[in-house]
Amino acid sequence: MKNVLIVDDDPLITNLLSDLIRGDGVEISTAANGAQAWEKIQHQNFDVLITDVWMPEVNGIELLAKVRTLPTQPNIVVMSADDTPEVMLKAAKEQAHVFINKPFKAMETQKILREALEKPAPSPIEIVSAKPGWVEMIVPCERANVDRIHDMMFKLKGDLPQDVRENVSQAFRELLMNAMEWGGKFDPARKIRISYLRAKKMLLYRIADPGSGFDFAGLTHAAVSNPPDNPIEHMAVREEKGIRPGGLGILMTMSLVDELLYNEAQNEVVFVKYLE
Amino acid sequence: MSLKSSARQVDGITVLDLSGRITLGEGSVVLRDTIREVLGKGEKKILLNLGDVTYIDSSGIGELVSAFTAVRKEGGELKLLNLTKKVHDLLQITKLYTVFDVKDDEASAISSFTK
Repeated sequence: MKNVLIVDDDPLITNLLSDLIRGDGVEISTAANGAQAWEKIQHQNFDVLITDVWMPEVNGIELLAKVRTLPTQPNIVVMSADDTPEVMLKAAKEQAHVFINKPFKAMETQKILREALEKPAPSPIEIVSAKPGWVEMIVPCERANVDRIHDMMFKLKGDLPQDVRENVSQAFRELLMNAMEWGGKFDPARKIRISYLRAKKMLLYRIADPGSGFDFAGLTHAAVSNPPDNPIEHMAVREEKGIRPGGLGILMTMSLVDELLYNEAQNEVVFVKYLE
Repeated sequence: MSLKSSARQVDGITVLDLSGRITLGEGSVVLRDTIREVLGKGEKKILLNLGDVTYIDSSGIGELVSAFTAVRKEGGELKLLNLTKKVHDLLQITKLYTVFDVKDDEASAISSFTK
């Protein structure tokens, strides 16, 4: 049996969300604000907590701060019409795993909530700086965190043109995945440090992984090493070495951003996108 | 969300309608398993309809290349149909657009396979 707590001061929302996730093996409780929710949480363990942000008495962010003191953490989904970077970062800092904008699309939300029910909560991330112009976090090397961080970083740039958002988000995801997979070996005990700076005329990302780095000269399994007349030569090398298909991330990123720089060891990477 | 695949037969060609995300992990595995299953049944003329693919990463594109080479090794043909602008752009920047035979409409894609 999975226990779900839905917290919202609008009964229409709690009813709608209850309908979306109702099913065999799901027990649903509701609360109208953070105070009522905290009362329930102290007497019962919940697998999933879905909460609004702005509610009377105790708001959603304050509720999450209390929930962080519990020995076991539920999978946390925050839903709010307030999708300002400040609110999204506060929610992430308090370990929200997913942020859904209101008004929400029923089918899409249903899928996200079902996933939250099926999958365990990912390891906590540490948000070192939650300032919209300077975000810094330390993230365990866990695949589930890639989608979570990628989604959050994409939503932070809501005011930028769609193509810029998509390109920098794709580049960020590629380099984050490289850091997690090759630098961190998908070991949740190992951590990646991510920094994101937004200045007036540029976006800057820095990803530092816990690995020993690499050498471009030995990267024959990556597309950046291919001769101009054979764009899939590296795929044969990967097959020979028993590496999964891919090896296109760095090549892809080079075209999606304006600058791509590695440190000497090549276990830290910075990329920059200039804004018009 | 993860990748979904459904197969149909049109004039002897296996059309695979893909929808969702092709990313490292679940999505890539679904694509790999689907191609393996189709080839296992002896169906070697495959049209991948990517019209409803909402997101693809480098691993997903690598999986498309892997599918292409696997089918070619079996003496078959694999073509791509209905690329979104994003997938089209990613194939261009990875210099893979010319590797694939890319089609915009199903009827002409079907008739382009070797009889």
